Amino acid sequence: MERILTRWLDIPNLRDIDVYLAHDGYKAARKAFFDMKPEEIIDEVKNSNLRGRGGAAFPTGMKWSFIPKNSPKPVYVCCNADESEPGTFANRYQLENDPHGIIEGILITCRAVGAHVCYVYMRGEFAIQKQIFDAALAQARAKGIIGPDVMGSGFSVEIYTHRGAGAYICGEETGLLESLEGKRAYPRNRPPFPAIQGAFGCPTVVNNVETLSNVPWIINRGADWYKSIGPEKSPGPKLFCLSGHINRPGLYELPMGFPLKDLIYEVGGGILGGRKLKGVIPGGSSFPIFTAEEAVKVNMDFDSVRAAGSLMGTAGVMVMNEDTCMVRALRTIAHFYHHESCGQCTPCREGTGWIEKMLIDLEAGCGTMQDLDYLISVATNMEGNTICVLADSLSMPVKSFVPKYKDEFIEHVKQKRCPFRANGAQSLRAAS
Amino acid sequence: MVLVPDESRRNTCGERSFWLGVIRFLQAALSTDKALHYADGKMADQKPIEFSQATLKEYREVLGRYPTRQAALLPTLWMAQREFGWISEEVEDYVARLMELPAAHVRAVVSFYTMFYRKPMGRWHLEVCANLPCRLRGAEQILDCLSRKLGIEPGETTADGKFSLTEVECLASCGTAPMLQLNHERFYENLTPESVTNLVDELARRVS
Amino acid sequence: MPKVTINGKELDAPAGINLIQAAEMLGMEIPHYCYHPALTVVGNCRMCLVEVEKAPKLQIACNTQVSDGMVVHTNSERARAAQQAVLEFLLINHPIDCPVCDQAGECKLQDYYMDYDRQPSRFPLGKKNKKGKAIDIGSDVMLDQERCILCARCTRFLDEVTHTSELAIFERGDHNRIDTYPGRKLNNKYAGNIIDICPVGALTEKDFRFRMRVWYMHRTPSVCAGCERGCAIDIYENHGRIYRYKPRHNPLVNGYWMCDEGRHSFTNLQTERRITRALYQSDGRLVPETFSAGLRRAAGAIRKCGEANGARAIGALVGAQATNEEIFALKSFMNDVIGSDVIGGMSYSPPGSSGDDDLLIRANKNPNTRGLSAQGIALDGLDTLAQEVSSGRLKMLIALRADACTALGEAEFIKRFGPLDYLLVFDTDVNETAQMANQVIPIAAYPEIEGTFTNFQGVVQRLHRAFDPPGEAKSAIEAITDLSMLLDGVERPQAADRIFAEMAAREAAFAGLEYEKLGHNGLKLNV
Repeated sequence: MERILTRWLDIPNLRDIDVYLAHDGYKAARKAFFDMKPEEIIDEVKNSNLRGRGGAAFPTGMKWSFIPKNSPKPVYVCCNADESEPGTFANRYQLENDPHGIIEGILITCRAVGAHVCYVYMRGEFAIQKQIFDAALAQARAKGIIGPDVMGSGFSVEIYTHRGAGAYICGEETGLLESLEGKRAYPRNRPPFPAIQGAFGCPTVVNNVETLSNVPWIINRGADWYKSIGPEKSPGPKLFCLSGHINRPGLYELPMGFPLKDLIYEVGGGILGGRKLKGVIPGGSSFPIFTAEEAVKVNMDFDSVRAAGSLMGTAGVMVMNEDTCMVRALRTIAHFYHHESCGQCTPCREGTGWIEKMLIDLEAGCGTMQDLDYLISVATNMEGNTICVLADSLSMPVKSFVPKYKDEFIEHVKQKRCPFRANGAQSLRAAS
Repeated sequence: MVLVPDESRRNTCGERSFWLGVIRFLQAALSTDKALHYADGKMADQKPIEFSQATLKEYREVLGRYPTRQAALLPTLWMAQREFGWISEEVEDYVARLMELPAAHVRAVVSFYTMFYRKPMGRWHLEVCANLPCRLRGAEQILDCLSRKLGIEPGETTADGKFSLTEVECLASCGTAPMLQLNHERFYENLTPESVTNLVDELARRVS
Repeated sequence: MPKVTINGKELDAPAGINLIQAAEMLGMEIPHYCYHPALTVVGNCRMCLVEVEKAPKLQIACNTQVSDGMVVHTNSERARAAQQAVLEFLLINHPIDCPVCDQAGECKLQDYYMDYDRQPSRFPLGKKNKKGKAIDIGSDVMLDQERCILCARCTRFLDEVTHTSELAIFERGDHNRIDTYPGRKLNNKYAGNIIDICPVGALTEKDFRFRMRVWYMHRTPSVCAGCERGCAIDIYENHGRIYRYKPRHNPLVNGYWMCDEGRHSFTNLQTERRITRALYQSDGRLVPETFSAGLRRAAGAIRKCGEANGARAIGALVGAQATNEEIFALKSFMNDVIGSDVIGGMSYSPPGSSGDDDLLIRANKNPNTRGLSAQGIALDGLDTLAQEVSSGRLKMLIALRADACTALGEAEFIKRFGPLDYLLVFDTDVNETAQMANQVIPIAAYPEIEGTFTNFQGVVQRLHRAFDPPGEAKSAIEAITDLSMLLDGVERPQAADRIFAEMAAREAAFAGLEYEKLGHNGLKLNV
């Protein structure tokens, strides 16, 4: 298959603007600025069925169409480069290797929704990535591709990077907006939606890095071409992040709908140490886990993964082999959400900590059978009752790990210790 | 992503290393120079809390990017951390006055984001990812190894002010796990106990 | 108007209101912590989750505006499960210190626990998070971070109402805590309001706490007499002792708030200076006697002065601390009983008191200055009456809640009013003027009477009698009518509503107003 989002693997130094230009760079932007009306751009993206890659899979063209036409207020575009979902590392490589692909996507989006300023919200830890991206912006500015007169069109677009400072919640689009405004990243109640009242009270589109980098391809090659890749309702090239107990972890570009079994055993080279597969989280740590039996039947696109009982999220595929202590794995996940809960809504602020405390006890052999019921009940009480979905992001793994690996949880209670540590072995480290 | 120290996370059945405590105690007792350094090596009380002219210029340039002054708070705090090493109360107050924001708001923001240092950090800050994908590839051994080598627990700084060790959350390097980030900048990936031991030795040589 | 159905009851709701307000209009409660009608909606407590038909998830009532055809259930199984869940979450890290918590009895955690939760805790006691307790954050406010449920009402008040932002939420997640910037305390004149809006025991009043359990106190609606704003208040007292004032919502006057100065003003009413018996001057000192003896002595002096010098030798000075009814009663007494029209008013604010601000505080520290002018009494009484004295025409002065001596200073007072033959004072305290009086009649303070004040915007609000005046003191109206009875033998009405009706009939500014219709918020003058 032709590499699209990862073509830097075929083209050395694609991050340099001259190399990028030599490979049809900014051709789509030129087309969008000179040959297309904003509505035509939105229609093309709508027709492509491109869905957001940041986790929620919302149709991108539709999101753009919510921006009021001829808004008296300025319109903003925000590029979400706060990639923090555990198990996800696609945006990072895109920022490092194909910054102009992202900038071009931003330019087209700005043209489509009538925005003249875009903030690229980059997680604080992406210091090197920010340097690379800022250098690419400077190159584009020097060539008149961004700035007061984009490629001579008379349309101005300024792009600024905005560095976060360590908070997972900034990846949530309204948390991102609050953080951009210099506040604690407390997600906002909706309504109003960002398309009406986003950054600085103005209409705003927030799109993920990977989403935006699909846009130039759709403009260049058309919606029909795009829809021919993978399932029609959820098409396109997709970046899969393969991690955990796998022989060849890493970033892979594959068509949507690629079988998870092949991803693990063919692309990923199978389970580390020749052990048996125990479970796979298909979309980043926020989503339900698949058992080995479930995993081998699933195709990796938004709708198929949903139908199988999980979500594809950011396609952070985490593989766990038979040596993994699922209690410890879940405790690690719970710690993350407890640590990252912004603390605004009661159920999330209190529930994430409660769940982690129960799991610490269970793993240490101090848990009770009642704790297993409480885990499910507390997770249920958190779910769907908060401003953003961070609470659900812990609720979903809890509600899948506990019933699917119930015997293992019960063993921890019965033996009053972690059965995986019998011989002093580490419970998560792969035997290799 | 610095972990907030939290007693509740401590395993109730206990698996803390007794010897780590002993080593720390001895290190602290034997250390003659307890002063902590800024990342640039200067002493805490040698600099007045005020931006340099160059940083002030940068600050004014950044203000121009946003429709509100407050939006420049995170970039300004980054400049402050670069300039002063960490965000002390005095720095918070300085930023508040500079930006004409309530001091309590500045502090509220500083304390929300884990990358702003609220105490002086070591010359070398090792942030080890301890999230699930890294743990599945041995992050716990890496942390243990560093803890033992440096004689400190995650969340602490060596008595000589050379190293800080922190457990952090996912840094988007799961395909090359386990990994650590040095001084909020460089990623070190596919770590092994040997590679981190060598890294610490190399860094220790560089400060002395 | 959108038609909305809540728990089967229909309401034609005004557009733009939220579901909490709509439910309230139907007499139903949707429990909530963070929502406050005067502050922006944050929707963080999640207590007001309700089921809205056709919405897949539960919705927070505070951020859901009514729309036509909306069908809402606040007590469905899902809604009740959510209410119970939120309360359980709020309580897991909440300390179990109700017995020593001053909020007990008016705590929304306690109340809602009884109404919506009632289940034993599933969370181990020993695992509660620890935070700061009994932190003095200034302005008479004590902070307990463990009890705080992080509803952010206080921070929003300080951000949005006073714009002083002394408090903020620090840290993250369940480490979140409310605090001031280190070393900087609350610094605004309205800080006490954060105690009122705190739904739990996180913010309590330093002066009040541990002095009186709330269930022993009685609440009486009244009006603050601290300045001409006249904030609507509730007086909390037990056995005639006031423990606190709290603002009472009045959209015409003060909204939801009051200033700290007014909040603490009741302490001036409960001092050693209160007069409990009549006093008469004898050999340079005030000698106590019974109320009726005092009145008889006063009646005798009036009769004697009138006979010797004519009715116009008797004048009256009334302070803007007096109620509308007291002013009217005194005016009628002067006109109808004595036959004098020599009446002056005064409205005195001590030097150095706070000036006008853009929220509530007014520089004029009298609650009824507007009421005085509305009855045609000029505020320059200290000058006009002094002229009457210096010209030798005025021999006797009756002062009602008018501390002229303090206002003028002793020397100036003696210069202006020293030549008087007789000074009769009706007042609550032994103030400077009372000390100079020939006769002092003890009267009730405003928490002890029925009546009305007219604030500077012309809003006439009712006072209610919270408890009896001390000792033999009577309401000023009773004292005046008793005195007139002694003089002309005619019985006159003493009830505030009767006097108000007469006042409305005779004073144009009050025309059309009815005492019973003043209600909780009061009504505006015609002018």
